[in-house]
Amino acid sequence: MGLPSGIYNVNYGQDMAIARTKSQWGLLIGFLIFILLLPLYASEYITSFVIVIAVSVIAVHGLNILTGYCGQLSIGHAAFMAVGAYTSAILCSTLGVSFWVALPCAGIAAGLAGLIFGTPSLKVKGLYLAMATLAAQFIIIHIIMHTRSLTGGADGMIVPAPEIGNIVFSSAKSYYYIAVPLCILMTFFAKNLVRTRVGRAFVAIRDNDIAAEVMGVNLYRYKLLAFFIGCFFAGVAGSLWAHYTRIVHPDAYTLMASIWFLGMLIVGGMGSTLAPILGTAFIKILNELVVVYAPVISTAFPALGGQLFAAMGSIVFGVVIILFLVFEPRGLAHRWEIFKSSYRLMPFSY
Amino acid sequence: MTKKPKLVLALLLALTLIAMPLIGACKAAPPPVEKVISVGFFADYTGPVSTTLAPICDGHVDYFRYINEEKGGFNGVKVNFEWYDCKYDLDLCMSTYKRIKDHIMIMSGTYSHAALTWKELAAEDEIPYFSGANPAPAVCPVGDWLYLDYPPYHELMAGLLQWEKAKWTEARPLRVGVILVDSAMGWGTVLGLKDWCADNGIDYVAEEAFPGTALDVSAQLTKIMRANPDILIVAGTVDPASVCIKDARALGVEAEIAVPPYCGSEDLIRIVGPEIAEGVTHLNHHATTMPNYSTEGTKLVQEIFSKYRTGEMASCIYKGVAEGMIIGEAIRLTLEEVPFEELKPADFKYHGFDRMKDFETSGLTGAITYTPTDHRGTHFVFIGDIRDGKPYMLDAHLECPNLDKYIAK
Repeated sequence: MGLPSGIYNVNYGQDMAIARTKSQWGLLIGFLIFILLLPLYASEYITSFVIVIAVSVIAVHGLNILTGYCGQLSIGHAAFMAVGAYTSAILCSTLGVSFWVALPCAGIAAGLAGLIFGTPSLKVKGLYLAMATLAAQFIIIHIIMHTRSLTGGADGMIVPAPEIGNIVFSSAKSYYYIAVPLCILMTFFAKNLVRTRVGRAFVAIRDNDIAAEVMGVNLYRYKLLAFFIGCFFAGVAGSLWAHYTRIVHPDAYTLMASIWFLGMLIVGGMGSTLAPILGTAFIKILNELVVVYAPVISTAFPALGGQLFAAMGSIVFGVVIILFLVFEPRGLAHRWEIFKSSYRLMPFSY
Repeated sequence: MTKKPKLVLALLLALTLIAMPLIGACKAAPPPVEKVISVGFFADYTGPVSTTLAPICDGHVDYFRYINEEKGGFNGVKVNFEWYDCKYDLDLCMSTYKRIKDHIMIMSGTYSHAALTWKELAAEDEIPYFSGANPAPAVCPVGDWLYLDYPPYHELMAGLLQWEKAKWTEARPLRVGVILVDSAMGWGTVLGLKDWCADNGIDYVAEEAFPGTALDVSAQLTKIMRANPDILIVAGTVDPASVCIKDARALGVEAEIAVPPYCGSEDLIRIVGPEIAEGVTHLNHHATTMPNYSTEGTKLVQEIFSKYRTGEMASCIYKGVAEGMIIGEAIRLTLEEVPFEELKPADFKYHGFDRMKDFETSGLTGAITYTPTDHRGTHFVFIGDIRDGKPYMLDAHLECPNLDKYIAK
C-alpha cells in the first residue's frame, strides 16, 4: 500500500495493516459511520439503491476471489446466486426455517454447487473452464425450472421477510441494516483472505499455475477452495436479494446477469478488494442514470421516440466497457491508486 | 499511446457522462397543468422481451397523450404517464419504484416477476399495481392490491380446449398434444392443464419441451406425432412458435395448431409465410388488426397510432391502449368520489379498481370486473384463426375456466 511521505513500515504488522496511519483510520471510521447512518438522513430511494449495490458487491467479491485472485474464469456466477436464493427460499417458505439459519445455509449450498462445477478446473483452464461454468448457468436454471414441487418452477416462489422476534425487516430502512453490515463484513473477509497464505496461493495459481505447483501449492485444493469461497459469497448475495425482493424467480438469474457481474469486475479492476465496490457502484449508477434520463430526453425529442434514447443506455454501456478495456484495463481501482499517489506527491507528481 | 490523447479521451468520456443530465435539463418546459395524476410504468425497450413489451408501452403513452390533448384528461385531471426502461431487470424496477413511489398514484408494468414482487410490495405501500403480465401465482391466491386484465395462460389454453371440445363430434375423446418452449412462459401455459383435461374428458397425450433458441424441433414433434393428437398447442412467443409451426408443416402434422397470445399476429405470418400460417388457431387477450373485427376500440387505436406514430403498427399497441383505458377508468371512477386535492394512492384501489364492474374497453378486451376474490379482470378472451395471410376473429367472447384448484395442489 502506498504510504504518505515520511511514514515507513518497520515491522510486518505495519506492512500488513489495512489502515496504517491515524488519518487513514479516521477516514475509514468516518466512512463506516456515514454509511451506517445513511438511512437516517437519506431518502428511501437512496437507501434501497445502496442495498442493491451492497448485495451486488457481495456477489462480485466472490467473483473477484474466484476470477480476479485465482484466475478461474466463471460466467455462471448468477446461477450460483440462484442456488443460494432458492436454498434460502425453500428453507424459509417451505420448511419454516429462520432467515438467520437459512442465510449461511444458502452460502454453503452455493459453495457446494461451486465445488461440483469447479471440478473441471482441475483439468482445464481459461476459456474451457469458462464453458464449464457456462454449463453450470444452464444446468442450474434448468433444474430450478423443472422441479416445480420444490422450487415453484417457472413461476418462482414467494419469500418471507427476515424477522427477529416481532421486528420484521420488510422496509428498505430496516433491511439496510442486514445488507450493508453484511457487505462490510464480507468485504473485510475478502480483504483478509487475500493477505493470508490462501490468498497468496490463489495469486500464485493465477500468475503461473505450473510454477505454483512446483513451489508446493496444491492446485486441486486451492482451486476448489476458490470455487467454494467465491460461490459462497454468491449464495449469500442470492439469499439477501431473495429476501429483499420477496420472490425468487428464474428470470432474475440469467446469463446476462453473470456477464454483467464480470463486467463490474472488469470495470472495477480484477485482483483488488476495492474493485468490486467501485465497479459495482459505477455500473449501477450508470444504469440508474440511463433509466432516469431516457424518458426525459425522449420528452425533449418526441419525434425520435422513446426507444432510441432507451437504446442509448446499451450503447453507453458498451462504449464504457470498451473504453475501460482499452485505456484502463486495470480498472477503477488502479485509477484510484494513481490518484492517491499523485495526491500524496503533489506538487511533485512526476 | 501518449498521455495527451489518453487525457483527451478520458475528458470526452467524463463530458459524455456529465452531459446526460444537462441534456435532460434542456427539455422544453411542459405546458402549465393544474391537476395531474402520475402513473408509473416499467417499460422494456431494450431488454430481452422488448419486441413484445415496447409496443405495449407505446400504446400506453399514446393513449394518455390522446386523453390529455384531445379530452383534457379525466374530469379535467391529466395523466402524467412516467415510463422507465427497466430492461426486465428486477434491480432496476426496485430502485425506480423507490424513486417515484412518493408521487405516483398507480404503478403498472408488464413483467412477470415484477407482478409477483409487487403483489406484496403494493400492499405494504398501499399503491395499487396494475399488471399486464399474470403468472399463475399472481392470481392464486388473489393479491388485494394487484390488478390484472386477462386470465393466466394456462386458463386461456383450457378455454381453447373447452371451445374445441364443444365442436368435437367424434365419439372418442379429443386428444391434445403440447410442444412448449422451456421457459417461464412455456411452462406457465400448461400449468394444471393435464389435470383439468383429465377432469373434463380430454386426453392430454403428449408434452415436449424445447429450448427457446432451437432452430429445429423435428425430434420433439416426431414424438408428439406418435400420440396422434387432434390439437397441437405450441406454447411460446412468436420466434420459437414460428420454428415449431414450420417444422410441423414440414413433417406433415395434421393436427390443428393453436398458439397462445402474442403469436397469432402479423409477426407470425410474416416470419413463417401465409401458406404455413394458414389455419393456425390463435388466442388473444386483446384485439388485433383483423379484417372481420372492427369496433370503436380498434378504430380508436388505429386513429391514435396514425396521429402520433408512423410505420407499421405492432399488434401489442392494442394491448397498451386497452390497459391505458382500464387505468383511465380507475382514475375516472376515483375522481367521481374523491376530490383531487385529497387523493391518495389507496383511493385508486378502493374507489377505482374495486368499483370497476363490466367496464367495456370498446371491444379491445373482455369486459373488466374486479371482485374481492378475483382480480383477473376478465374471463373472456378472443379466439381466431389465420386465413389468406391475415388473422381473423372466430369468437370474441371465449370464456376461460378457473384453474385455481389445479395449481393450488
